[in-house]
Amino acid sequence: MSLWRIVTDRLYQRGKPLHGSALLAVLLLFVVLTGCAGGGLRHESWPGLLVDDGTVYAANLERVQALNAETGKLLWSFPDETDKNQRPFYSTPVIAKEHGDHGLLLIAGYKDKTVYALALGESRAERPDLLWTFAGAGGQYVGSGVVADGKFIIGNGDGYVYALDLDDGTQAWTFRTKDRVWATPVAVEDTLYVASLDHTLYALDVTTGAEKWKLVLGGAVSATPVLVDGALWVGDFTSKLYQIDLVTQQIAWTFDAGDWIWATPVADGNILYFADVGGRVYALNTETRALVWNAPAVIDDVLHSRPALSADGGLLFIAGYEKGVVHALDTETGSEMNWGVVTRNPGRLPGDLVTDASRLYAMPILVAERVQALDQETGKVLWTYPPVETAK
Amino acid sequence: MWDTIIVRPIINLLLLFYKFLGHETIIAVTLLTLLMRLLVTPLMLKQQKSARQQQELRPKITELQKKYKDDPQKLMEEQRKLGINPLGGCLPSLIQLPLMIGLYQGIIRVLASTPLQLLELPQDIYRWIPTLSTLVPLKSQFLWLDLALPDRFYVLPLLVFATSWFYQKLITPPALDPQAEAMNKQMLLMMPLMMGFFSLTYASGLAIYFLITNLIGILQYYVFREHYTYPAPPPDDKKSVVQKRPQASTK
Repeated sequence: MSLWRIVTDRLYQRGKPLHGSALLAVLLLFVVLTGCAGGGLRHESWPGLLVDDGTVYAANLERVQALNAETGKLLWSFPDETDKNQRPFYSTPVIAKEHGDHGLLLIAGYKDKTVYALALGESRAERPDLLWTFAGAGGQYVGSGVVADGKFIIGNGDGYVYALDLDDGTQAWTFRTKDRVWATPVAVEDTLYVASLDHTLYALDVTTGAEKWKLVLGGAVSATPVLVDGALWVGDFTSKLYQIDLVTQQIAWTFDAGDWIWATPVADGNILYFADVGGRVYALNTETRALVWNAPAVIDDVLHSRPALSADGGLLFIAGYEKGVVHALDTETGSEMNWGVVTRNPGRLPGDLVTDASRLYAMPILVAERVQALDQETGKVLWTYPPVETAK
Repeated sequence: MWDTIIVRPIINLLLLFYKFLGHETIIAVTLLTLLMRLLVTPLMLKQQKSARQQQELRPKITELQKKYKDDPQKLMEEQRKLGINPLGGCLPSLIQLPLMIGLYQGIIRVLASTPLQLLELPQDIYRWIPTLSTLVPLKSQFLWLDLALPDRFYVLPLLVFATSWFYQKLITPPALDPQAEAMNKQMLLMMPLMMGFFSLTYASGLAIYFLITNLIGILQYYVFREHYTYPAPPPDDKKSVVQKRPQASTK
């Protein structure tokens, strides 16, 4: 007897036809399950991390944490563990070394729309004091900021760029774009370059925020432009990489990639490494505009994050987003090294990779181990935070 | 498989509407919702027809149930002879459901209210349709609304609640027993509350979709009103409690 017949017979026996409301309830249950699964904070953006002076600063969802780069030991958290406020942090922390007694750490909350300036202590292990906050933005902070002209300048989800005085956090100027600003602004001398999802690259006066010029590109830009030999290189959602001449303020050259360029490129001298979301990795000589490798390296994954170079420049590390695997490519040939590290849990890797003299750092999401430090030469996991035994 | 067959076509259709309708997200969402509702209208009418049929044969079914209460096999056969398919009422819903869920998911993904959602959108866009990639992210401003964020003035959640309640009241079939009536009453409140809650919590673009769906549903009710009318309950059914329906004609 077919399953269909069994079901219909059972319904006849019960004498109660299925009620339409029950189906609607099923629909709602589906909506609830797909939309509201999980408790606590859910990842809505990609986490950012910074390594400086032997310390890893990780925007680790619930708080920004400082970890010892060698051991992974937690040094301090902001806000501290007793703070019950749920305000996820994603924006990569920034250090303003020349400000405050020992430098300032600048972090930006996602949903609380607030920039926090923390005065670093003499020792990086010392928990910093909150110096000032700025809560004047109307949207979420996704990208990071830049320190220039005594200001911390950062784009926001409300489409504005905010320049904040580093001494007290007062708003020095704002500049409005037509869409969200997720890319980190780039300061070159007295000009600030801001890429927006509104398809435009803006050049602003770093002191006043006045627009100097702008250039409309083909698609939205989420990646941070990179300066190489006096030109800005940036990719967009129309699969193009642009070389923008800062003197003529025009597009000097365009490279057609195979797919959207989401990730910020990384430069090593005049070699620019960048990836498209379709899994292709390119090495481009910015002088000759020729590809260095015979063909783009192909990784079977979606590539969203900025690659990182090993300390000696011999390896290019790149994170596969969906499979959560870090790949190591030979920068000479583009061939993949026998190095790949598979994260222990089915995590994803949407955030940028960061390196120091010997280690590579990654921040997987959807796994217990939020920060991973890997050996650049072997790919061996050196430590995780939280440690493996306590992360489970 | 689900994404390939249902969600991605919807996402790309939405982007095409957006492209050709002046880059207005709200118009694209409205048109797509309208199109989907029109697409499922024959199924919806079939569902109503089946519900009516069930209602009309209710006295006969009750009689058979009494007659063959000790012989379920015979009861089953006799009921089958009446020509009712017990799944006839819900089968069209089961077919409509994937389309409506797909539409819901497609709108959520296109609106990409969080950075991670936008990050995953490229995988859903057909590269073989030129210029679709240039449209992303979609324009999210409409009047006071940012379609990717919840309505901060609570206007949409209230509208969604009100229209959900009215639509639910219109389409709820008359209850045949106290238990069904209690369920109807519960659903009449729960459904609008849940829709209102979703509208309060999620992107207002989704609330727009709920609102348009309700308005189209209400319009369809009045256009196809005769499909929603039910026969009077059997007079001998003492337990029957028939819910009065607003403006329902029994012609």
